[in-house]
Amino acid sequence: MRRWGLTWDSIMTLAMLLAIGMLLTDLVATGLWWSRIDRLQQRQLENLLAVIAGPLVSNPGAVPASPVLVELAGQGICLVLTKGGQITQPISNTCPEDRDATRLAQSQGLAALGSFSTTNGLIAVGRPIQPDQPSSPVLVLVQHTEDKFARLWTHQHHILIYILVNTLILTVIGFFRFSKRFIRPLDRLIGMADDYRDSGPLLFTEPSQANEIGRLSSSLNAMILRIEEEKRKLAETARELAESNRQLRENQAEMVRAEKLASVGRLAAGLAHEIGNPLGVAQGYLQMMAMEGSEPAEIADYADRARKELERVDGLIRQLLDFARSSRSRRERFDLHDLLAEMADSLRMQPFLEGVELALDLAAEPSTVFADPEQLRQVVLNCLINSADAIRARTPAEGGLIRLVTTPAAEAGKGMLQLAIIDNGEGIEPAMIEAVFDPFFTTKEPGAGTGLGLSVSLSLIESMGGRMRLESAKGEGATITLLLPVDEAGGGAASGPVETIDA
Amino acid sequence: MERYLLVIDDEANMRHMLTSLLSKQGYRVEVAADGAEGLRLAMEREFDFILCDLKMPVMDGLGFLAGMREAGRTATVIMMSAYGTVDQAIETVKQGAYDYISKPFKVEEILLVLRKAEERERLHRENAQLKRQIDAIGGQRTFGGMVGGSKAM
Repeated sequence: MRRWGLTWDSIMTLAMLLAIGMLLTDLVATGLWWSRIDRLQQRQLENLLAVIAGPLVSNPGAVPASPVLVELAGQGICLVLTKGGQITQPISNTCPEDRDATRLAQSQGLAALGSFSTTNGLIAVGRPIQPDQPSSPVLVLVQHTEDKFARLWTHQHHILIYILVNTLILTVIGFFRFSKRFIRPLDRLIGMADDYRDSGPLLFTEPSQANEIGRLSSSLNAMILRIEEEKRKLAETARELAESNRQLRENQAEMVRAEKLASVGRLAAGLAHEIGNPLGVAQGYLQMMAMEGSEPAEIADYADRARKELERVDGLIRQLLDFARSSRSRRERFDLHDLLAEMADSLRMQPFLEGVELALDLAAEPSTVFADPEQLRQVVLNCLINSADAIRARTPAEGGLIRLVTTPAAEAGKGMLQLAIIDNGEGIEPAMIEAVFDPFFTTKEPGAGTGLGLSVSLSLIESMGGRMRLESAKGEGATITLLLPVDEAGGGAASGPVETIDA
Repeated sequence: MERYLLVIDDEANMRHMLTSLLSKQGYRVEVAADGAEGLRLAMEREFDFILCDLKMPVMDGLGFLAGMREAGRTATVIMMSAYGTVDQAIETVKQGAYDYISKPFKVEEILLVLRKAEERERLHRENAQLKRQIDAIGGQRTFGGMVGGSKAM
């Protein structure tokens, strides 16, 4: 239908315009004919009158010959003779009965010679028999005016048929011409546009046409080229996006690693401090063993004490390694309470927790979770560092307390175990709570924090299928709540061991 | 001559090791687990030397020093600092500690520091004694005579 739309439209328009044009011409011609038809009849009658009047000039009393009268009667023409305004003699017997005709004849007889008048469908032409005599009788011909409409119809009948035929023929000719010039090129363009799949410069080539169609072709070509260009740019942008996405993912891994190193660095600083003592003690004992005058029992005691100190050093370094371990880690099922207790034991001597009481309230039963223990360790450590910093930042700094609270599974939600890390530090302003999970957001002194801790923690917890949220108010302390899946199905995360970011 | 020495450290092993070591060197060693306990002991008896850990619970090394200063005690305090706290140790020297020693330390190091401190102690005492002698002579203001009067020099 659409394809025929323009064709049909053009045919209809063409036919309509042609018909209207011809009808208008016909109208003008008919108008002219209409205005002259009476004059033609009058002229006929005058000519007729001249012929009839001819023999009467020399012989005014004569009666026109019988054949003439018969002819007049045949044409419905009434011939009267008037004199001084009175009909003296109705010569032909075909005069109309009605008074109008009679009156017309009379008035015509009285009126100026040679004039004619029409009224009520009658036409009268008068002619004095003896023009040189003022009182000459006047011969008057009266005839019904011709039935114009009948004649008009007879004419128009033919003309309309002619117009119709003309319209048809001209429309067909015009349409083929129009079609050749416009519709076919357009169809071709449509076909090309439909078939357009991939690039091809100068696809819409209509070289023979310097008109609008040609211009449309070149415009379309220019457009295609532009689209090609845009497509190319788009592909490039998509490629760049993919690249930056990849980089972003790499950066994410980098971030996790950086954050881990930062916490490990902080642990290491504390650890180095802690290592100094046992190392110094062990060195002291060992040197004392080498001194002269030591009793064997003393030496044995020193050796035992030195060994214990070295074991402590070993333990401390092992802890650091536990945190720093570069692991392509896996999720597994383990006891969260064991992990928390072990962490609490090893971290109590850390300087960053100095003056802070670390309380465990482990009520969850069962206490197993399905997560990555190394990553969870990193997250909890990070939270503890944050809490300790928040406690140190408040006034008074004394009485710092961090509670690690696990909640029975039923309370935490289906398939989840809840671990809350609650501190009584300075808290966080509500406006900042949203921002604290943003990478590089930090309120700590430059160098004191990477600003990655919570952001990385969040991504680690989410990658384990867990959830993490923070509640706090300025001066009210802060609570980090971790929801951890208790088994593979928990948390809606991918089941089975999941490879996570290598950190 | 008996030398009294106080070891203040929160680590029992460190206290034990230093006690064993320094007893062998002839010191009379007493121990305290934190600054407050150390301060209490220092009030009871005059110690020649005090080995004090910098970081301790209850009262740390700086607190101990401040307590000593408040009480008007002038013992020779040697601070013991672990890795990463050297800055603080230097601060304690500014606050009146005689010297500091970094943990872990070798036995020789601690003995050397103590020997140096003893030497200083000795000079102090000599100096004080000489001053007293000068005061006793009274009025004698000749610089040369003052120097000449010092046998140690």
